[in-house]
Amino acid sequence: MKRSRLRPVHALLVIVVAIATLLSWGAKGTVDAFRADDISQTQTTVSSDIVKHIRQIQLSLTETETAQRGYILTEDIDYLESYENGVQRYRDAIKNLDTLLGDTKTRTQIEILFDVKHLAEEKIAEMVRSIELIKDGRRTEAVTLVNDGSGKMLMAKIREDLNELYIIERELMEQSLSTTRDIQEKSFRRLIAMGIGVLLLLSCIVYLFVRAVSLDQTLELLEEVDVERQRSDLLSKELNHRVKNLFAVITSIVRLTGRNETDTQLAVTKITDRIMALSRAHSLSASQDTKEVTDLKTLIQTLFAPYETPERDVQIEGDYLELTQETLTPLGLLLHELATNALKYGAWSTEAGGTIQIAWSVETVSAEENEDNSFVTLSWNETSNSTLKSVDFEETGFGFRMMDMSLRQLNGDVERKWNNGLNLIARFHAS
Amino acid sequence: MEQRVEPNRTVSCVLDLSESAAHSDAEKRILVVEDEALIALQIEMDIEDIGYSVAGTCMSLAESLRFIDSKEIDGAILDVDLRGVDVFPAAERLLEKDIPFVFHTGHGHKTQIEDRFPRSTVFKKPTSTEVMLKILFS
Repeated sequence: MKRSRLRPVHALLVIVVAIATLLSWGAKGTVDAFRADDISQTQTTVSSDIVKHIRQIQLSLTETETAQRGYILTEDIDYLESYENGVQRYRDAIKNLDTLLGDTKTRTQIEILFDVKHLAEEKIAEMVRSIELIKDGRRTEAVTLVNDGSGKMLMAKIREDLNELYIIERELMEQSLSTTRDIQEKSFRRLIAMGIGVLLLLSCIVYLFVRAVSLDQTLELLEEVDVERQRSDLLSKELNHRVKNLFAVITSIVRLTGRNETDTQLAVTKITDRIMALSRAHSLSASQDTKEVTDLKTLIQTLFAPYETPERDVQIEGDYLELTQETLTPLGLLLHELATNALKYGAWSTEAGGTIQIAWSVETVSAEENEDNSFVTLSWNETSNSTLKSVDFEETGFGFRMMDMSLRQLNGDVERKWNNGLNLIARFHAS
Repeated sequence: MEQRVEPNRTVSCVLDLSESAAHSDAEKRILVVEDEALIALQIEMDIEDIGYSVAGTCMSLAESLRFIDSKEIDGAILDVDLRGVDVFPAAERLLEKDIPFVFHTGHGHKTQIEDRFPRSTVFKKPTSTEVMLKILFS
């Protein structure tokens, strides 16, 4: 029992450790996911800014070139202003781009950026030269300069470089996005695992709870069974004792009756009657309770039931008195002997019959150990409907000796006299 | 008012016939301690039939102790459980007086009694009085 009581505690410990691990693992995953998302967002913002500036550079250079051409063709001064603006915009954009790329520039980016700056300055220088030629009125030379294709080639190279920068940035953006997606996917899996773990945990807790409850119930049941077994052990011991005692009493009945009766047939009848009386008295104690098995009135009614006829009247009157198991044998035999005596010599011995009045009163006296003790005064008065032969008590010796003994067993005594039937007063303790 | 009724037990208890200290079997006086009336009566009659005399019959421990202290007896048959009270103090008293006795019990703890009174035999109820008397004076 100790083992099974300890087990759930161990299991609980394991489960608590498991949940702590699982939760911290899940929490870390979630934090990672947030952080990755943050990084990716910053990266995206920076990258799109960079892309914007790359475009700006390209646009401004194209604008500058267009203005230069316009001036060469028309010699309109307005173009010069547009040209200056373009150059200025280019310079701003390239400066910003340099800042934006900051310290995170890769070698390739540095090389390309350097190249772009170099090429752009060369291109700007070529344009400045051509504009100066127009201003000096050397138009043919300026047109030749533009037409030799070197400016065009420079622009193409710049465009190529910028495109390369653009592609690098796009790749960076995509890389960051896919990393974020990976981390998010991972953390999503973690969350699912966490959910399953928590569910398992809950089932474990429910299982343990149910187990604990059923264990408690089992223990309760075992205790009940134990109590019940002890009770039944006690009862069977008590019954065993009662049975042994009754066998001894029956042996005594047989021996005593046989000793005092020479007529075998009569002896058998008397023995049978006495055993039957004993049996009727004890049939009232079939209840499980060892105390207070029946009451005096029920006992008398049970014992006299076989004898009653219209001529044999019994009047029973007395206080309610609970009897214990130990009083059944002496009281049963006493009352049986009185009835037998009445049938043989007393009120019931003639055909005319008679009446037996049985009355008693109960006094409660306090005894040792604070147990209440019932002291009973019982009177037995026979009234015969005919005149009876007088009886010498000494001659009926054995029956009366048995009555005396039975009353002694009940810590009592008896007085009797003959007045055309037996008049008897018995005093005894009933508990 | 409290009223304690004490029936006159001692008189009905005493059935001894002689105070003389003769030692023939017929003169041997046996005390019967037994709380079941019929069994007591039967043992009494058996004792007489066998040829000993009954010193008296007692049904409680107090009664037995009083009897042992005040009467001459040569042997005793003791029921163990007297209405829930053990007879052992009476047995101790008999031991002190060097009077032989046997136990006659309906309860199961035979060895327990034998451990406590190794020189006395324990009989289970019901045992014939003749057997008990034979052992008592052997």
